[in-house]
Amino acid sequence: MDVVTRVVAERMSEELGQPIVVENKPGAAGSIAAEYVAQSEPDGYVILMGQTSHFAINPGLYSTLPYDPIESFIPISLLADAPNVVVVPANSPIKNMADLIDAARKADGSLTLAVSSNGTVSHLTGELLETTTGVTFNHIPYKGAAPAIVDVVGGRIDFMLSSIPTALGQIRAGGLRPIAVSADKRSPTLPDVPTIAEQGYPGFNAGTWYGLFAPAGTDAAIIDTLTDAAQKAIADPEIRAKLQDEGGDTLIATRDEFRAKIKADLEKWGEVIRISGATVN
Amino acid sequence: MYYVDNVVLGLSTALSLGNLLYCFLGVFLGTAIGVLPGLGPVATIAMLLPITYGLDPTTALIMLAGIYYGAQYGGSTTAILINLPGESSAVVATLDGHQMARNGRAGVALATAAIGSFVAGTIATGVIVLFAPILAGFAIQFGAAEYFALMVLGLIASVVLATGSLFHALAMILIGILLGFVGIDVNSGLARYSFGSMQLSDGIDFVVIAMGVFGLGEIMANIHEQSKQITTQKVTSLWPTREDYRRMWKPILRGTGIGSVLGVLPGGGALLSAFAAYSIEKRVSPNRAEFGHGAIEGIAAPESANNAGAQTSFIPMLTLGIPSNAVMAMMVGALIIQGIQPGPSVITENPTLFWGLIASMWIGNLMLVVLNLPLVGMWAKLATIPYYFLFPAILMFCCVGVFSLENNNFGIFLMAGFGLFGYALKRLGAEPAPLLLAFILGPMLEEYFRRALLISRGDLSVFVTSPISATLLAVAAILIVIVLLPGVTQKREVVFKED
Repeated sequence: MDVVTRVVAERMSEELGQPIVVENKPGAAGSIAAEYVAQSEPDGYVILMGQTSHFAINPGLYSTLPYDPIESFIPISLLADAPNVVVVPANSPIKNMADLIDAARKADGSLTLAVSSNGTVSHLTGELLETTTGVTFNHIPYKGAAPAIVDVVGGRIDFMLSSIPTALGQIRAGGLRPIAVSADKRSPTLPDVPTIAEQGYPGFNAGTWYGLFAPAGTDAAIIDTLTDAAQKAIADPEIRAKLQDEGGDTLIATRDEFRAKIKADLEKWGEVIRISGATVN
Repeated sequence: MYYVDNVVLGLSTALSLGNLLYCFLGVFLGTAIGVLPGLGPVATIAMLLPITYGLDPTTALIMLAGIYYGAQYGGSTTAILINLPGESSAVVATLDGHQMARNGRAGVALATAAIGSFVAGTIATGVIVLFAPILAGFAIQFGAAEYFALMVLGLIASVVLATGSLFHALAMILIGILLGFVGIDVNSGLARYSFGSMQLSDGIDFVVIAMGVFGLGEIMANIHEQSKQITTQKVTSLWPTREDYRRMWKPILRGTGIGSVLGVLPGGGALLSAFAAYSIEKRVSPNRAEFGHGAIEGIAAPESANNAGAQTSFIPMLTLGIPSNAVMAMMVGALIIQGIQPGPSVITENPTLFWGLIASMWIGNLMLVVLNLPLVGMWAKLATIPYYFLFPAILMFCCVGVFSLENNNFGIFLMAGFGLFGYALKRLGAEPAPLLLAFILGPMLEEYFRRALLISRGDLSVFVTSPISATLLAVAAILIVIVLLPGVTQKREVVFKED
């Protein structure tokens, strides 16, 4: 998240001819940052680096959200998306999705899945995998991906849905075996790892997208300027290469396509949350 | 030959003019933010990250690392002088370090911290060179059950550690644990004790409590006592005597050993190592009666431990690609932007980066000691600044520091509340250090306990079937027995009466 933001912001600064200051506003799964932007002056000087969880997951998880994912913002531009990767310990007998689902069925709910943090895309991708395949996993929640990866490398946890950069070091060194990526297309960083969809679950597509948003009420001309700068930034091959190092890829889409994607995701993840019964507060 | 070649490679990288310059810049900035209460390495590195984009990755990492261990070094300065820990691992320095300052030995305490840190930094760097892969394997061995046992041991040791009444110590620990529970529960995702507040749902930041209880609480208590100065006496001695050196060397070595090992564990390693070193020193020292009243061992051991821990905490990041704390996570981000994937392959694919960084750590430690020893006299004078200058300055830095955590005012109000609480503790004569330890360890204790049981599906035997966990729990049990023995209880009371 931080890397995507900083790489794009630096390039957009050049495009706009003025510096963009990246301000981290952590808290409540990004809701604090989203609320801050939603309530800022709509003059184009305060914009949000938003992602799937702000716009499609938090609305379903939190009973009270200090912003409305559709009404409080105007989308500026979609920037990039990144899939999760299904990893197992290097010495695990599980070699592909079929093995994983088979093992889960045999273990009858006790196959352990490390969840980097509750309410994240990774957590809900696990839930989506359960509803798609009809098996259940023993979810083990962590505070962040790093300690979760340690437990998978150490063989104490059976598998994990990790973001690619977090797991890449251990994948390349042979500490973790990647068996699938969660998006509808393979990752440029791990071209040999097939998607979940390719392995018998067509249509399975769960990743995190990143995009820029301005507060509702921002002048259309300002939005156009920002959209233009953002689109130029992601069209730069150097930026694309940096995002690919992160395991993701740039996403070129019009604002209308972006808006449609947000609505579709809001519905998709809302459904996963309803079926799984996951809530926060 | 393998080690010699690598050390030569590392030194030749670290000694290039540019790298030396950035190493100095890093440790200088680190010391500065360490000394300023509340400003931590996380906020500083976040602000400086864009500057590093244009640098060579090795140079960038050398500077960022310098900020991190420089801050560990500087964090104890305010803890000793004005009883205000700038970093979580400096909490222990308030115990005997500040007492030494009160006895007019502020200079000796600062010099001891500097010397201990340098020796520890040097040895820990050697440990990384020789044992990095082995220690990384050790970190992988630690699962939920092992961490749980370690936390139990840590909490029990903190009872032993507290000066004064056992009742106060237990009360502080329980309050600390309760404060640690504020926020979203890891397992259920439910917010606890947040009273519907969005800001509280992420829990309370350590810095907010430390600045409130130690910083504001101390200021209020001092104003109440109408003392014109924070230190009760003038600075009487600046440099350690021959006797001081004789008393500090063993604690420094013991602290270094403990810090080198515990620093490798992700999550609280540096903090735990400082507390552990202090507790152990308090048990084995021939001068244990002086602990809590300004024993030089009580500053030498934990300061060495936290600096050694700060060095070895690079091991999981460099060899496993796993960041052990927020600062390391930021460094991982910096490396990724530079196109380097931290992980086991760094040693073979980027030997200049790996060995250059390690060599720079030793050089950085040397710079720190050269930078800080001449300043000891100046810092010690700081303690004699009249309160009407010093207190507003501390107050301002505390507010800036707390604001920098999440860029909002909420933390400042919360800190003010903890200030009142800290003042009440002072009036009651309760030592707040165990509260901070429990605040950090309590939630981890719960997290690991529940995770271990989730994985084992409720089978409690996991805590004794793992040899590491079983050993740690056995040591904890022995400690309880020792505390409950009548002889020790009497000794505690004697210490209490002397207060």
